[in-house]
Amino acid sequence: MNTDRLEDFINANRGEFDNLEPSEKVWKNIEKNTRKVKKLSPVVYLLRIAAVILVAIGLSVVLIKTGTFKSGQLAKQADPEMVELIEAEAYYASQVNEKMEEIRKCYDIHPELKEEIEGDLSELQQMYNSLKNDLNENVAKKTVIEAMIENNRYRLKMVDEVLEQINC
Amino acid sequence: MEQNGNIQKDLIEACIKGDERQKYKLYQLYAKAMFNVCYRMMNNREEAEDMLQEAFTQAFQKLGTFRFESPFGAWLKRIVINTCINAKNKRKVDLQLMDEMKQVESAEEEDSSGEYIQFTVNGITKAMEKLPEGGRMIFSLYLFEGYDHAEISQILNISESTSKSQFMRAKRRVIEILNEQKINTI
Repeated sequence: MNTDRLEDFINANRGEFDNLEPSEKVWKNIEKNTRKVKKLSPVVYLLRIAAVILVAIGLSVVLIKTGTFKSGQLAKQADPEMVELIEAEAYYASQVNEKMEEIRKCYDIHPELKEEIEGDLSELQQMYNSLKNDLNENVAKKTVIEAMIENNRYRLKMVDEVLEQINC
Repeated sequence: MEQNGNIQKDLIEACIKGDERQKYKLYQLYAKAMFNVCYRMMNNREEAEDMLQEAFTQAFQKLGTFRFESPFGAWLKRIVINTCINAKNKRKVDLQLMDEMKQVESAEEEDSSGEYIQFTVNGITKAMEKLPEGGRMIFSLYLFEGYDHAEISQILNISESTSKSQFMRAKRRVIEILNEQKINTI
């Protein structure tokens, strides 16, 4: 029968019936559509947000760490108390040295002075050095600075008094 | 193509990851076969291209749900056919089935005449294009896409017996058309 022969013919030549080709634009549209979907995929979207948040957290941690470190250094340098101390130290040191030169001229006349005043000054210097160590430990900074300036003032006062007394 | 389902696992998995080149490769492997399925369903080149585009877009979107249990070609073909059926249903036009009486009479006459017809791919394709929509779809689904009448009844939402009788009529009508073509060429 022709109907049976028709089935047989189609089965035997099945591949040849697929003879049409789709045009290029079909793939272009599929590509466009599936790319768009990829961007909108909620899982990928959430993962991207999570990644951005993680990077932001990581970055801010690094910034805070380096930031506080830097600002700490700057604070140390710009600390008005420290500036005051450095200036005071320089001032008193020059005053004391100036006056000590005068006093040293009198060592010949008053030899006992040398031992007395140099001993006192070195003792004060030792105290001053230990105060400097305390300052580096960063504990009760204000009190330590005050003590250091007081030490300088005392040294100047001492040399002033000696200078007045010897009168040479 | 069918037994390649698992051989193409790597290709499909690359596509799931969004590899554009592999997606194009997968498209190229199946585009022509699926386009011809679309054409037989729609009987119109432009609509067939629209269906192919929609079906592949869908397939790529739900590629992650493909379980490698069935051949990939069969999975894809089902998406293609569903896309075509959905497009037809959207038009809200009832499936155009074949007129019974006229077909039975002419078919019997035809078969009894037993005239030998030299079949050609081109002749059969042209004859199919002239079939009413429902008959053409059933004829294609059964003979070209390899579905049985139970599957066709599900796909087209008709009874199995309707599928069987429509297939018989479509077959006879194709012979009839081929005979007419033969007469016309003589």
